Amino acid sequence: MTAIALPRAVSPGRIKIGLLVLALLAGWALPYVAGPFAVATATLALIYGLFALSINLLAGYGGLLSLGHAGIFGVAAYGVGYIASRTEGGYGAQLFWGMAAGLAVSLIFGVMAMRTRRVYFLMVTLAQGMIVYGLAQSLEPVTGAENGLTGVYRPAFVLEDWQFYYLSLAVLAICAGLIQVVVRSPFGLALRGLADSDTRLAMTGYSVVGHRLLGFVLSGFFASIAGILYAYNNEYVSPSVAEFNTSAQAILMIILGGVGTLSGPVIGAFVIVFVQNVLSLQIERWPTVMGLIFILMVLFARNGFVGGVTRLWNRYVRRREEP
Amino acid sequence: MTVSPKDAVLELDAVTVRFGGLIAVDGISLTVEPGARWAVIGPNGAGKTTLFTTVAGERYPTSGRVRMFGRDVTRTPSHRRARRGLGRTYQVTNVFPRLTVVENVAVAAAAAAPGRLRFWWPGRPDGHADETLEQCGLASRRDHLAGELSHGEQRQLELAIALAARPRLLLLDEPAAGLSAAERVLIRDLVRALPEGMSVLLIEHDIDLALDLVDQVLCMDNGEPIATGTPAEIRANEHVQAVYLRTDGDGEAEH
Amino acid sequence: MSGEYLLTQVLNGVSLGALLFFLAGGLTLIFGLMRIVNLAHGGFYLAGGYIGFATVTATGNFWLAFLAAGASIALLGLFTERALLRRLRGQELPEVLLTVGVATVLGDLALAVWGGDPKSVDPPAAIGGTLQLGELPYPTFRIFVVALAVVVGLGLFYLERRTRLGAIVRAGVDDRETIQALGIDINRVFTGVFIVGSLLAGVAGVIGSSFLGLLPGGDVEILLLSLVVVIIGGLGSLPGAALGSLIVGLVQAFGTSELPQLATFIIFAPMALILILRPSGLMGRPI
Ligand SMILES: Nc1ncnc2c1ncn2[C@@H]1O[C@H](COP(=O)(O)OP(=O)(O)OP(=O)(O)O)[C@@H](O)[C@H]1O
Ligand SMILES: [Mg+2]
Repeated sequence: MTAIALPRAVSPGRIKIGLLVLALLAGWALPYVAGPFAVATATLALIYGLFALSINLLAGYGGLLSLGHAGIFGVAAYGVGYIASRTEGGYGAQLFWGMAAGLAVSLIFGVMAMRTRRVYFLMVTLAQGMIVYGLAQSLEPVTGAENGLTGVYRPAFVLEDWQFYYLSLAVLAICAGLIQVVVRSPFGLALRGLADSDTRLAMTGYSVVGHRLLGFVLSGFFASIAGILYAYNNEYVSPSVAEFNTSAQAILMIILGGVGTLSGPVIGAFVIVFVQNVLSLQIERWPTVMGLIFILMVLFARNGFVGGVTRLWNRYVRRREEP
Repeated sequence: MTVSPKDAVLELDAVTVRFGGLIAVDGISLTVEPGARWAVIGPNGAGKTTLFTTVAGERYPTSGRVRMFGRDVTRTPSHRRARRGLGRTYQVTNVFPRLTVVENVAVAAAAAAPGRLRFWWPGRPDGHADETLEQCGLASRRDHLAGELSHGEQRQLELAIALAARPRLLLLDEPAAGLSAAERVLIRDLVRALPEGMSVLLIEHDIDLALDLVDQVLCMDNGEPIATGTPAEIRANEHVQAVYLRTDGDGEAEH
Repeated sequence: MSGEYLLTQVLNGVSLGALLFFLAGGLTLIFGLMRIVNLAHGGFYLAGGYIGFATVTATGNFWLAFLAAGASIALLGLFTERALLRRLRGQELPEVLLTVGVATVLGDLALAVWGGDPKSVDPPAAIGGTLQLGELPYPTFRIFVVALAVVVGLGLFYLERRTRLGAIVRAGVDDRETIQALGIDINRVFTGVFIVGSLLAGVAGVIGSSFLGLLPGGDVEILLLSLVVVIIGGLGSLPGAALGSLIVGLVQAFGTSELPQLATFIIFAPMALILILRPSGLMGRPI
């Protein structure tokens, strides 16, 4: 370990890699040690974790918080559901159209939102998400309205819950790796610069609108993957996928785990999904509980779990190094 | 359109900027040759920053034309001008506070590298960035967050970001604003040491400092050009003296 | 399309616009001064509606419902601003996120208390029934709502343009430091404006209860429409809110009757257009 603690350094790389290996090991071991309920719940957490990561890519690095990503997540899920239930399309077609629908909507939403920022961006994306939800509820021929779309089936190789769990784990790991590559690339650096000062970034030679749009579409890409996974995991798509609460919950996961970190949103997803699935058996008022956690986190613990731990760690390291 | 080396770096033709009823810049014309050093002086509110904003493309002029590197860029967005070789610093510090110092500079250096959109780093990420930091005296602060730097260091970083992209035309808006005498010397030396081929426009309230660094001066008042010439001519110009007497000295009061 | 049909739809649109103005006007006022987008506004509306419903059920008095809903939602606004938002003053994102939390709690509590069945309130006899507009009979209540919106709109406009408070609010839009420099307790102005906005949302809930009915999810729906209004009109501009309400009301009325399945989608078009051509809205200041 080097002697100088960089102010921004989270934990030295080796510890990070160690934790990552531990997490992957735990992920691999889970179906061997836990029951079917825990495996199914963990699968959901992995999917929502990926969804939260997609929002975090834009919010945590680009400074643009989308409140409407459930719209993109939902459109991708509906894309799969529509091909599966209303046409004869096989898995190739389902995946293709799920992805295409998600990306197309990301592009349209991105073009609409790219010239706005801050609160305006928030409002615009919120409206976008709500519009998808409204369409899901009313456009019966395509979405089946309140009845939703049935007839989505998992491919044969992931029929069992534990199999689907491993698929989700693998997809999340790959996507997290990709997101890490993006964040560390020149593009990622520019994206972070965008969050700090768009005038300065433009004056440095970057197209602000272009970077916002690309960031939005990339984020939509990962949200779409999460939506597709969701559709197969659930084998049913209904308007609630695109609900505002889906977005709000993902944002809560990010805040809980730590904004602008790679592990935070996933940790947050596990906490929320497990708490929800355990609690909702006991209390009916889950949204109230969620709303209260939301308020408390925003008021008192905005760095989230990873942010808090990082701080404590840095303090510890600094104290050890001071003579 | 081809650009021959003899072409002026910047040509302003009767550039005017209005804010509602207020005319902030009123018919400024100016030709900047390659490698020329210009000072833009004038009392507070004379329109100097607004003129820079227009040259930078952050605001388009109400009327008049801007040509840069031999092309008409009157309505070209700022990032395109930057890519062609324009750099600027801001009067009010405008850095990336949540990036580290080296990242601040690297982001600018990466913009200048060929192929703007990259998902991987070409070679070592911050080679050129480190050079620029060295040049601007920030090497020891390399891994600190920009937001944690002192005001003086942030002004140095302000300059470093602009230089990292190796601009051909550099706009410096009061680079020494709010600095102590010692820090001003540092900035002065930095400006003096800029590569010879680089054209520089410098806004500076400290007349002595400004005139010491340049070979041409534009003096503005109320948006209008009241004099252009060499530092010696400007010092001798009665009109300029009158403006500066009226505003009582060098108008340092603002910061 | 018969003239009668057209007129009915126009009236439906204008009256829906009037309802939206109560919400959008409040949103815009709050944003104009505090730079907060209150996403709990839909929740305030729905809670106001249910409180109005409960009041009418208990007392049979519609006017009392206005009073009860207005007062309790104003109190709710007072609490939200004083106890919660004040802790985050000036931190744009956390402020909005906090209102998201409040909205989630409100929506769920309303569901807990009043259940999932639609509720509605009949307007009192005085403004119930229909009014004969030439050949066309039209609900008197809706015309009353339009009149009320015009009065409230003019009142707000007067407050904003002609009074000291308004001058403060307008100065606040331009420059917060200026007002503080004038020695004005900006916090009290914040609270006041937030209460006015909340009160309007509560009153709108009562109107909405006899207009659209009350239903879980109604908060989200009305919030969407109000957001579209302010996006189109320009956040922070009162005339913009009025114009936006009218546009969204009309588009929505014709959309619902012509293409019910795509109704939500149809307001998407004007919003998208505005955002691409004029991101700051028709009457908003550049963003
Ligand atoms: N965005 C704007 N909107 C309206 N008026 C503006 C705007 N920017 C500048 N002005 C006005 O234009 C005039 C010129 O301002 P500018 O900042 O260009 O002056 P300056 O010469 O840079 O002054 P200083 O020495 O104080 O920096 C001033 O009267 C200023 O108030
Ligand atoms: Mg200036």
